[in-house]
Amino acid sequence: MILSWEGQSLCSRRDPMKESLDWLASQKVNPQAALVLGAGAGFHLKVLLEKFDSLSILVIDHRQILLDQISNSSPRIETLCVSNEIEMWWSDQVIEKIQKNASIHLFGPAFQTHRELYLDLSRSLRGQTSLGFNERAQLYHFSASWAQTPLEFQIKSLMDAKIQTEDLALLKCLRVLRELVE
Amino acid sequence: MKILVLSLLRLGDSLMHLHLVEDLRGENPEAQIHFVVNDAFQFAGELIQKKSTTISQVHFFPRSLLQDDLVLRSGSLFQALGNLTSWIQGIQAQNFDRVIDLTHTRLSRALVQALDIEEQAATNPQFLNEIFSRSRTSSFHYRDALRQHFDLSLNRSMAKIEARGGKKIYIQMSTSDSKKNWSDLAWNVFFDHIHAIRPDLELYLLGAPNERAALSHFVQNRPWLNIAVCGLLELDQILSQADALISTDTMALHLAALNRVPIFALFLGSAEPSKTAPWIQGAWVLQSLEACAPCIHSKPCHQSRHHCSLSLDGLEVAQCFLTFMDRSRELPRFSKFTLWETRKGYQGNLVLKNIESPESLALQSLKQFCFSKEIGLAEAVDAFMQGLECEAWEKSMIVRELWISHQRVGEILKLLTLELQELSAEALHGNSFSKSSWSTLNNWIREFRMLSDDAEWTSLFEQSLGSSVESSTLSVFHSLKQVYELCEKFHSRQFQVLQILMKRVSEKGVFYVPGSSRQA
Repeated sequence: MILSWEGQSLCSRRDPMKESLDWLASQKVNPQAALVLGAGAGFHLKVLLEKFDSLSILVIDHRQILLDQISNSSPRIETLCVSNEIEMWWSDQVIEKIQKNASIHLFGPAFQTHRELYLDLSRSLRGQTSLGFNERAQLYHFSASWAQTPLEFQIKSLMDAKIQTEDLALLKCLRVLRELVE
Repeated sequence: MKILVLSLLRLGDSLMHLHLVEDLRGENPEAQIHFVVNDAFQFAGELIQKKSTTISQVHFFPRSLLQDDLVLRSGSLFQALGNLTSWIQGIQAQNFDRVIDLTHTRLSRALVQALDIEEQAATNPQFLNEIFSRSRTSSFHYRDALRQHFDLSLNRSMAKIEARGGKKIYIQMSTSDSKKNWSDLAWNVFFDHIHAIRPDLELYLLGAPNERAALSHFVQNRPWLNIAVCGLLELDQILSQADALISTDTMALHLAALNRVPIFALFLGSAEPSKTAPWIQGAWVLQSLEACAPCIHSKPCHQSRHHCSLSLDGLEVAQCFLTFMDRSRELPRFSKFTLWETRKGYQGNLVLKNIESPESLALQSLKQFCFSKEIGLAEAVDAFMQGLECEAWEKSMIVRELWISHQRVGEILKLLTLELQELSAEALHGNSFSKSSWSTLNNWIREFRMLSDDAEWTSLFEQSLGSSVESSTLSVFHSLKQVYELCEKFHSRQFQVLQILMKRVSEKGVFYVPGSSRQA
């Protein structure tokens, strides 16, 4: 197991299990599918798999060596090595997980000097960048004008009902969400 | 048959809705009934199934998850959409035949449409809108209003509290809404007075584990005051053995009602006994008489001081509670609040009896009696004043209800006049009535039918409209006009009766100002 990378720790040196359990307690996990940004030393993946029996995880990281270490640890773990947002959306694994409404999780201790990359990937997966928004809207078969501020897009578009789609079931779901926002 | 029941309000409301599930079971003895509550109450799933064995499964609508997805920066509209659609698909996969929405909010309405399950038809949506309206006071409890709305028969009649003769008194002081809370100072006076008069009573302050510190401040220097910190299932267990519950408007009240515990409730702020009192016979509910109470539920107290809380004297309330526990004690004099007792009224509905007024039967039947066509004006008034075992408080309530309803009928008749004037112009020029004219007219007549007791006028109206295909436009117009004139005449006669009744009732003392819940 690799505990540090380029001289920096990938997880807590004192108690990595406690760190992972605390992290897990703060996450809302879809028990079927999860996207985890940051391979780290793998303790956080272990606690996730232990807590959710039928969970399958796609781990995204920019270091292939770390991914190689964890990919053999469980058949429920898949890995993807990416260095930018565009590469990520090229992956069928990502599309498949998004279609399963996978929950998205950031494991901060693993980011080290690449924090911004992981935050960008996370925003993109949530549809809060232009590319991410278009990819996800395409999956839901709807169109809407992209707004710079993600939060503004979410709230305002729902309030103003600017989202265009011919899918009646989707429209009804959007109406439910609009009522929740109001 | 599989029925899905939506109960997406707070936990107390969901517990109140369990009575309606019993009614539903009565009408559908073989059906599987599933119950949906908000995900914030996942901890209450076990309790709900324990209190209503008729429920096959409890589902949790992921409301807080969706709201986090929508409004937090770490969330996403797409995550919300994904979570909502997968929840909806999960429900749809269970092939429900019918959905019943007990929530009556815009959110629940949208959810019913998204679920795409056949909805239980409501018999009188306008009625429920008025009951749920913030601005209207109502003499119907939510549970009774919903039962009538869905035309359900009462399966199990209202239970009575069970006086247990013991000494364990539990007290739920705080609600999640600060405007419904009583001041700490007043509680202290209340506790001290009860202990001074009845030191034999064992007083327990109820609270969740995170409330222990707040409660400990009350028990300092009061060794006779105890703290009972518990979870929801434990609370149910405690209440099943309690000798009384004293509570503000909380979920504990409704749980106590399901356990038939004697209840003494303090309704402050937006709490309105006529709508949300515990649905059980024999509970006492104290309601502030401050001019601003009951205030708007969704907004914080708008006054500079919390008047409805500050005006309640701890000593007076304690004396009332002691009378509640021992009916041989004389009720103290009080002027800042009304004390109601919950009773079973007309058709099993909950009615509130003013403790200070003498006893009698419910009066709803008077509505038909006084205004039936066979009885003259003077006779109607005399019958009201002398007969039918009416109490002053019941008379005043019925008069108030009639007044509101007749004012609305009057408004509708005025609007019908305007509509008929426009129609007359169309009819006299030999044109057919436009589609919009018909539709507006139809709407007013539909509303009139809901408010009017007289089936004859409304059926005549309907016949006039129904004959539109066969008859000429002009003849339809003439028949409508005739029916309208009869209606107006009848209404004005009713109005006269009402005016005389109001005058007489006011002479008797207790009287309600129309449109207000306060005594004048």
